[in-house]
Amino acid sequence: MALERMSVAALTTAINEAGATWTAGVTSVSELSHEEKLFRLGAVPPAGESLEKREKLAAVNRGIRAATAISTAPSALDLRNLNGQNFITPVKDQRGCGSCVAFGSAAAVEGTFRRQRGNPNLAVDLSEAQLFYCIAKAQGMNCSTGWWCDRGLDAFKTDGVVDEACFPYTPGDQDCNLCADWQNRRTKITGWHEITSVAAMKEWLATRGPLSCAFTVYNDFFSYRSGVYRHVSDKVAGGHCVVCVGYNDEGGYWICKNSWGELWGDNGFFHIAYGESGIDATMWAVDGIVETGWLNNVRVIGLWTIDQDRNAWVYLVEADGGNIGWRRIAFDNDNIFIDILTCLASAKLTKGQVNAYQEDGVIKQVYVF
Amino acid sequence: MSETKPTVNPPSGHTAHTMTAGGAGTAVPTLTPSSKATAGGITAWDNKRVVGLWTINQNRNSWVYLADVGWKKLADNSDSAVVALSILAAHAKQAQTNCSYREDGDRIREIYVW
Repeated sequence: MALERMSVAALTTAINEAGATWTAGVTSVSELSHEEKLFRLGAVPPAGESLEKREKLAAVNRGIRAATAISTAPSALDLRNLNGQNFITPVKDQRGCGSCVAFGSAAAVEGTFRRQRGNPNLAVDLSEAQLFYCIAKAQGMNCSTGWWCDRGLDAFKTDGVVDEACFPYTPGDQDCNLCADWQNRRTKITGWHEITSVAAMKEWLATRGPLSCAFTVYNDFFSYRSGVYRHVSDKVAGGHCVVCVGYNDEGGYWICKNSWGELWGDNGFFHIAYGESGIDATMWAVDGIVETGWLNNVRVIGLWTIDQDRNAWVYLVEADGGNIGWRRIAFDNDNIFIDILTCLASAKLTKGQVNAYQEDGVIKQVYVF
Repeated sequence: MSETKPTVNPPSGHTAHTMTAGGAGTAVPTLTPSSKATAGGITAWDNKRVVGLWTINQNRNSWVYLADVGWKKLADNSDSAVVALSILAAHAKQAQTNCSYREDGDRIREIYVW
């Protein structure tokens, strides 16, 4: 079924007749051809899963507004304005390549990184190009085939992903062209998991960070400008991976960041109704960030240990007070473990400056001044 | 050889209570600076100042004197564990900061210092 350009007037009528509350208009993608629209997507469920199945699963969430009654999450939350702080990185544009999974995954990790550090200004911009043109490509994927959301997070866990400057994104299949020192510039995650209940999704958003998610895009979605989206077109364009950054129980919607640039939707974001188009069938959570490299000019504010072999952790903060969080102390052997712990305990006592080298989140070397 | 215990209490200001003795997956810290004052999950955390330390030339035999509690033995199940617990307890004493600890089976098993 061809994805024709939709008349704003006709679409507005259909929205009103359906009792939906969103506004349609000409957008940066609404006037694209059928083929060009498909390149704006790229979430393809693996064998055994389907967009239809996800829509049916999510449909039970329609109309849910009191789910927080059984959780401790607030009734509304927006990670762009959490007590006046914006933990969400800027909107990007995948343009003509079905690489949405790379964008949704990177955005989820970036936001989680900022939340983990408690630092909305943390400079983190991860390479969608490496995710898609190196890692997805090695799995046989390209701009036309798309990918699936959990594969993107898997890549962060197993391979790690470099910063944007190491391999900047441009649309279109291309060689894996990483910078020379790419191995030292990777960000990894400790793991990810799938969340299936709305209450748990809200809880995670409120306490840990954004969630990668996927939904079915109908042809009318390309014309979304604002409001709470519910599809009124029956023409399916395909699956799309985005990142969920908040929710609102009173309005009954999720807040999501898209990867179609700031000129689309509500400055690149959209609201989508609970249970709509499979959006909350499942979502994917980033468990935590592991890092490799130097943490310079940081301070120790906490220490922890337990009755297990070589298991001690240090809580680090940046000089400006930004959170770094718990890091495990190297546990190669007893004297390494004890030496590093002793140095860090000294640093805590004197409130001294610490330069620490971490490898996959484990402190391997420290200077204390 | 029977286990040796500390026999002297800190000089003053702290009442000595009963002196206790006796007693696979890798755990991770669950408290954060913002949650440090509250109970974490089902674990009850005691917050006390460390006012004394004791050790002797016996394997894994280190004790800590906690204000209003008395002497408590540090877990002795591994060399690295007992040394790490000692380092944190010594730090808490030196810094005069509260030590959040979890006790199980008459041993201090887990410590946070902030």
